[in-house]
This record gives sequence, C-alpha cells and structure tokens, in this order.
Amino acid sequence: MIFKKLKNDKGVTLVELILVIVVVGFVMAAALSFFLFGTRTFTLGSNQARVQQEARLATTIVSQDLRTAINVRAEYTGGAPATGEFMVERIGDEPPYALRYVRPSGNLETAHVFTDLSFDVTYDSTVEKYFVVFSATGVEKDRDYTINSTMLLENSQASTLIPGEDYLQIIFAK
Amino acid sequence: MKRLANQNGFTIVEVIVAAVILVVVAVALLGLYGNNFRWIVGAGYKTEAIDAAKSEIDGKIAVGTAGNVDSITFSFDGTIPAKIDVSHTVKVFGTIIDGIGNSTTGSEQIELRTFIPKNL
Repeated sequence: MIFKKLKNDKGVTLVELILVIVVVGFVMAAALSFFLFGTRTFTLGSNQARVQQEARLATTIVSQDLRTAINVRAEYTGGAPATGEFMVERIGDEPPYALRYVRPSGNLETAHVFTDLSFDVTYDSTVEKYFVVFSATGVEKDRDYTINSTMLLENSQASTLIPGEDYLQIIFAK
Repeated sequence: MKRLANQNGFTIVEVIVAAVILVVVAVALLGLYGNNFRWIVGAGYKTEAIDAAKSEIDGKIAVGTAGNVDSITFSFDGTIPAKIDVSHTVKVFGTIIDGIGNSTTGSEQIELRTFIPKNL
C-alpha cells in the first residue's frame, strides 16, 4: 500500500504549490509576531525587574543601617569615613548614578541605574527627632521606577544635619 | 488501514478554519506574557507600599510609645523537653504600632504592625 503511494509520479501543480506557500507564509507570520511579542514583553519585564531590584537594594541598605546609626553626619561630596565608620553615598558624576555603601567589612554597590538618588534630612521639632528622606528613581531603557522611604534616626544626635539640603554622602557609626 | 488509504486530503476551507482556530488559541495565550509583566510591576507597587508603611511606622515611633498599654503573650506549654519542662506564660507590655502604606500608582496597600516593648 505505502510503496504504491511513493511510486505516484504526478507531483503537485504550480497553483497548489503557490497556495501552500501562501498559507505557510501566513502561519509563519503569525508565529513570528507571537514570538516577537513574547521577546518584547520579556525584555520589558526584565528591565522593570532590574530597576526595581536595584531601587529595593538601595532602600534596604539605607533603611536597615541608617535606622540604628549613631553620630550621623552628612557631606556634599569628598567626605570619607573614619576607621570603623560607615558611609552611604551617591556615586557617578552624571546620571545614571549608583549607591555605594562603604563599610568596614567591604563595599557594596548597586548598578548605575539611578537618575535621582537623594538623601534629604528633615527635623521634627515637636518630637525633636531627625528623619532621613531617601528617594531613588531608576531608569532602565524605557522603564522607570521610584521608591521613597522615610527613616527615623532613632539613636542619632545628628547635630550636623541641616534640614532641606540634598546631601550626597551620609557618614555614620553604629 | 482502510483509513490510511484515504486519498482525499484537506480542502482549503478546512486548512483556513484550522489556521483561524490556531490564531484564536494563540491570541488567548498571549495574555500570559502580559500577565508576567503586570506581576513584576505589581511587585514594584508592593515594595513602594511597604516603604510607605515603614515610613508611617517610623513617624509614629518618633512621636513616642506613651502608655505602653498593649501587650503580647508568649505561652510555653511544657512540651519542649530539657528546655522548658513546666508550662508558663510570659506577658510583655509595650505599644503596638500599625502602619498602612499605599503605592503612589497602582492600588497596592500594605499593612504592617510592629511591637515596641516597654522600656524597663
């Protein structure tokens, strides 16, 4: 039976062939657009995930260690931590900036994804406490993400902090 | 066997109908890609909301934990051998502080609760 079929020498007509090519063409075009859409959303998703991840890392660094800090002082630039001190600073002369965490056990750096990275200091006179308002805006290709966090400096004397200034470095001990 | 000998094949209409069904199914599946992206963005909103809630809690801690009227209770039922062999209860006084944070865009809301023990 099957050998009989293979011996068929008739072939296909040109019209049949063209029709098949057109149909396959349509199917392939649909499959390609499906694939391209998948690639595009994957790229968007990874860009978004990356910028969110770096912003979250920056906020985690700042909030966890600054909250328990003592002897907090802020610098615009050029400050250096003394032995045993910690420092969070914005690095990069122009965007994209990164956050560097200088600590005795070794430095930690986020990726250079931030267009804005600022430490503002506020002072609440009724409770006589200082707050660090940390804001990070990251951009990765066409995706952007902003995170804002306000940290109470619970243990800090914070005598050198001036509210309303945009500092680039915050140096502290723990 | 008889079936395999059928030489009729498909008509063009059948092929087109099959292709249309395939496209409909594929378009339905495209939603999955979009969902993944939305979930990533939603996770970002959640992070924003968590930071807002933490900020609110920090503000409340700054105001102070006057009163210390709240308490939490730890109960040990005596079933941990060689460590605590009698059942007893420890009650700690302090202040429970709630913080609610919203994401600036999107509609994520996070509620955080913390307990500050009384300063003895």
